[in-house]
Amino acid sequence: MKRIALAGIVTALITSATVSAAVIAETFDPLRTPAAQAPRAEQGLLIDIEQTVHRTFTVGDHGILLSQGIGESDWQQAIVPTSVLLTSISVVDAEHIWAAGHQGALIRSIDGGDTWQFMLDGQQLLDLEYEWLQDKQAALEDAIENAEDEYEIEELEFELDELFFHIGGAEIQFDVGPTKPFLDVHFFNREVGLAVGAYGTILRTTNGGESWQVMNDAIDNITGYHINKLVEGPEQSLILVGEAGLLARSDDLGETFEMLDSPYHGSLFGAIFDAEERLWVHGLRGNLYVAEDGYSFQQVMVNTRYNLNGATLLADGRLVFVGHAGVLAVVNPDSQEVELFNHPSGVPISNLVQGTGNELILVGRAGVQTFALPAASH
Amino acid sequence: MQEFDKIESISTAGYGKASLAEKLLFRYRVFWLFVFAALTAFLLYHAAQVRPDASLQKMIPANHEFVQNFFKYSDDLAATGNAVRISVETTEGDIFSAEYQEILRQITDEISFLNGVNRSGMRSIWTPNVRWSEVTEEGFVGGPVIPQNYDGSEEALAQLQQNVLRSGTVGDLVANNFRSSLIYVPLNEINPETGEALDYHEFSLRLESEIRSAFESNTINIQIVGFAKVVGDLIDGAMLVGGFFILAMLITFGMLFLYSRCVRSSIVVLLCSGIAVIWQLGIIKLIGSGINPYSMLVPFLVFAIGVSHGVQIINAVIANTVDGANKIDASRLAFRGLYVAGLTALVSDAVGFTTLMVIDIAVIKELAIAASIGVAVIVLTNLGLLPILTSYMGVSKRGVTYLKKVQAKSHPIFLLFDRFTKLRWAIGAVAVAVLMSIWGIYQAQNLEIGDLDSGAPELRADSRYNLDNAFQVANYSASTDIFVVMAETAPGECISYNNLALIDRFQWHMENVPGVQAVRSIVYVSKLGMAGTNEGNLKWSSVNRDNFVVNASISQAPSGLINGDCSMAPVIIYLNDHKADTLNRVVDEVRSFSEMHPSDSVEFLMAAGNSGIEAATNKVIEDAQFRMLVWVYGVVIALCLITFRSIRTVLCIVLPLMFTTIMSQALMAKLGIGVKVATLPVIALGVGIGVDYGIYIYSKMREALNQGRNLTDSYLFALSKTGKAVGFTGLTLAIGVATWIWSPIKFQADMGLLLTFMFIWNMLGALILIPALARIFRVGPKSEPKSIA
Repeated sequence: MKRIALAGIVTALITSATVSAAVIAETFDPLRTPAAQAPRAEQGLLIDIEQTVHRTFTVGDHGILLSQGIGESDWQQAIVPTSVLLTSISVVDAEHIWAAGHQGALIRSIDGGDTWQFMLDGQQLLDLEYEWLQDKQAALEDAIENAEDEYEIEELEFELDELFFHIGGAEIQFDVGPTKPFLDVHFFNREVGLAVGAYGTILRTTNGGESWQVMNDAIDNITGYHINKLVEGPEQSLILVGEAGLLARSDDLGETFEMLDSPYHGSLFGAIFDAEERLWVHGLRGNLYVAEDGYSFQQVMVNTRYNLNGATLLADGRLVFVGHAGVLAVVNPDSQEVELFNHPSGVPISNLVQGTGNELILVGRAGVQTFALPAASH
Repeated sequence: MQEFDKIESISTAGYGKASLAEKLLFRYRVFWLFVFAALTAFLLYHAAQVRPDASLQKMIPANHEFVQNFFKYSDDLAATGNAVRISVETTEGDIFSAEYQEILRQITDEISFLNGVNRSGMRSIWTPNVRWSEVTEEGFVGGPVIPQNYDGSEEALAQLQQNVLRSGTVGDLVANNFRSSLIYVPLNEINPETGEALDYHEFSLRLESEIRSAFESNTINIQIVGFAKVVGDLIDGAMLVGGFFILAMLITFGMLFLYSRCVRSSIVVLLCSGIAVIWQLGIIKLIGSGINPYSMLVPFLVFAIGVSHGVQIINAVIANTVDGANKIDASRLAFRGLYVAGLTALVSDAVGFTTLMVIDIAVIKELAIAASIGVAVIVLTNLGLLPILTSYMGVSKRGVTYLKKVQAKSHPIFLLFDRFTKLRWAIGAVAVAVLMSIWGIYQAQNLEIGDLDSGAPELRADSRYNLDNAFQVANYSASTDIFVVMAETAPGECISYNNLALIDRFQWHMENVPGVQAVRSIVYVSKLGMAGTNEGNLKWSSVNRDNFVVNASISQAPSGLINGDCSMAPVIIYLNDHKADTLNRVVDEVRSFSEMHPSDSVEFLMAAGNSGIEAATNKVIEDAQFRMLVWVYGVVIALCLITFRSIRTVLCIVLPLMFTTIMSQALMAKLGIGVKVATLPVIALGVGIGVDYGIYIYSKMREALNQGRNLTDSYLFALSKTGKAVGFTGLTLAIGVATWIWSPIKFQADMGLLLTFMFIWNMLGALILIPALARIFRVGPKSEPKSIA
């Protein structure tokens, strides 16, 4: 009797072990794991913030995507199919909103932010870039075949070597998995938009994300500097800024770019047009430049060593730049006078929008914070 | 020989014949005196070597899963745990003055010479490992916070101030208000050169003498916080409590004299009880057990219990002398009349104490062993040695005269208590007790598990340590309530991407738990490092899939965030407080995360850190609380059943004890004292010793009842025989422990307060409720003589 009982127990144990083994999840992958609903989402790391007429949206770490009715105080966390760090949000209209993040995550909502779908992930990005590299290889090999003088062949072969190096890198990437973050996404309308990011990645779609073109060659960026920000200007012009003073402009919805003379060789984190359509660019260590006429820049002195990460244009025409250590630089664009404030939290601030009245809604390391801006002194 | 035979023929009511024990004891008095003297000398020698120790390991439930996990990684966790934080505050201006910096430099130097300090891990403005760094167009630049060419000049100080601001140490090493800065001093538990264990007490004393006293002045204040300091202060406090012993002895002597009016007897009782304490300490030393701040209570208890039993003997000796016996006969008869009751009471004490062994925490077990040994020793010293001594010394005339005088009249207080044998009074008393119990049970709902006060709950809220702690909490951004979860992986896998990603999600999960302030881990550092290596750009602060990138991101990581073979990464959770609710919530959330995200490669093991250990302790206490009550009451009920063979009697004795238990829990809830390592044993001690009163009173009552007297008369008889002794015992015990209320150690004060309450309440409960319950349960002869009423 005892033996039988023992055998039964052993069988039960083995069965339960097998069953529980089946329950154990596969390796945790934040890219395809929905974001956790978090009571303290507002206090997490938040990177970007943007507004429609009715709502404010902000995104950040762990796939946090929050929205708030204008003038309301509660934030609602959206259900998002990824848990990666979201770095950017682009509001097209009241329904269409895009967000981009690490590991090639591109998600879209077509119902005003209620539900979100993957439009691209890092695995697909790897495929796209690998195809693009192979197309380039084929084109180069064609060119070498059709080349006439030796000098040209030598040049092309050198280029091909370089390309093989990148292809090798891309092949390694398949093993490592998607690593590249998108650092910004911008849509002109429901169809046409770009996503840019690490190591010079530029993707463009003209069909609302159905298909994507790799456009890394559209700017002069052989080194593969990171592209930090896309900013839409007057007449649907587009400004692109990045590492090492990278600065380019497009007038055809991002199909082609023209490199601009950069006023700065350090990293640029953003750009903004003031009410007079002057272009301001900002970056590392308090560097701030304004283009007075056309694209000839001059520096505006901001007395801070901290990075200026984000900017907004206030209703009264002033510009506010936010940065590390809670720095807020309020600039009168006409007089170029700079007023410096420090947010009492002292934490890095990533971006901002204007709330109701003189209240600024800031996002950064400490999540959503506000700052009551003193009225403009005339 | 002849006189002994004569005695044996004396037949006093209830004394019976001489037992073997009595014959052996009194026939060889000289021999026994010699044996006792030799043993006392031998044990005194060993007792003198007993030193209080406060080892962490003994204060925690070593077999609990959490603690086992902690032990498994205790070496790896040392860097995150065992450190002292010394803040140096200036009362003039801020820290950017040449005078302040000079003192800070000297203190930093001085500390690095102390034994036990892990020099390479030390951090302060003046250690070279504290650096500033900045991203410029050219990449990272940085250097030590103290400028290379620091000379105390205005320029150097300005440079220093700038370096501090960009070093990210504000809130960490530099106070948020710039009026103090901090020296972080990690300790080596084992000296790597000599292999010797760190002597916390000595280290703490040296911090006081070589740092605090040496550098504090009108303008400089020094605050010291850390486990080593807590332990040092505990031992200091414990030594102070040793002094209370003398106070307790003096008060007891006074009471003995008031009771007996006989100096000789009083001294003999003190002597025998003192010998019991010496034996107890000596034996503890011999069996390799130690004395800790908890078991320090035992000598006080042993002394008090010894005195209370000694008093019974002295009482009987005097009474016998009054009856005309000579000093030897008086002592023999006293022994004969009391040794069974005394033995029963002492055995019930000892067995009651051993039930504490169900609590799996070494300090409590030590306390249980020490108390049981102590009580066993009393059997020898106060039931054996004491009557031998009195047989030589006798009692003074004054004592005899006094007893004659008081025996003549019935004490008015006895008549008051005797009323409780009347039905009306009995019902009244029991009704009041029931109502109070209901109130008590209601109050006891608020009883919490664990420590409720902030800072080091072992010490008083206004102790130097807790003031220092409050200062650092107020001026620096760090909580002192730390719960560490160990993320365990295969060796070499602790920073592989999928594991880091899961730890990242775990960290975020815990950050969202109410009561959690912040969470730090290698993941946090890696994400900061990612932003750091990308010019501080927040868009990069994410764990990267690429191992090379991860390695680069954690190259600046402080030590201790991954272990040597990369199989464990501690996740350090900073809590708002260490209330049981908070700890339970954290434990539950860690478990629910593991259920939500089952993983083959990472296991989230609880728990280290002071709050992690406390969570384990709370759990053990919570589980043991009920079991211990069942055991202690089970034992007491069994003993009473054996002695009295009547369920009604057992109810009469045990119900008052339960009343006291309920009331003491209500008191704890009212005073905000939690159920913890210090207070749980108190309940068992209270019950174990409290039952003595019942045994003494009831055995005398039974004696009268057996002679056919009614309840009222029997109780009056019992009161006249033992009432005074019971009252005296209650007061002696209470005084013995009441001195603890002034202990600098909070938990000792709590123990003292609760025990005092329980001893007095038990005494009153016995005197009032035993007769009342006896009446209600109709104990005694059926024929209730109305005439007496």
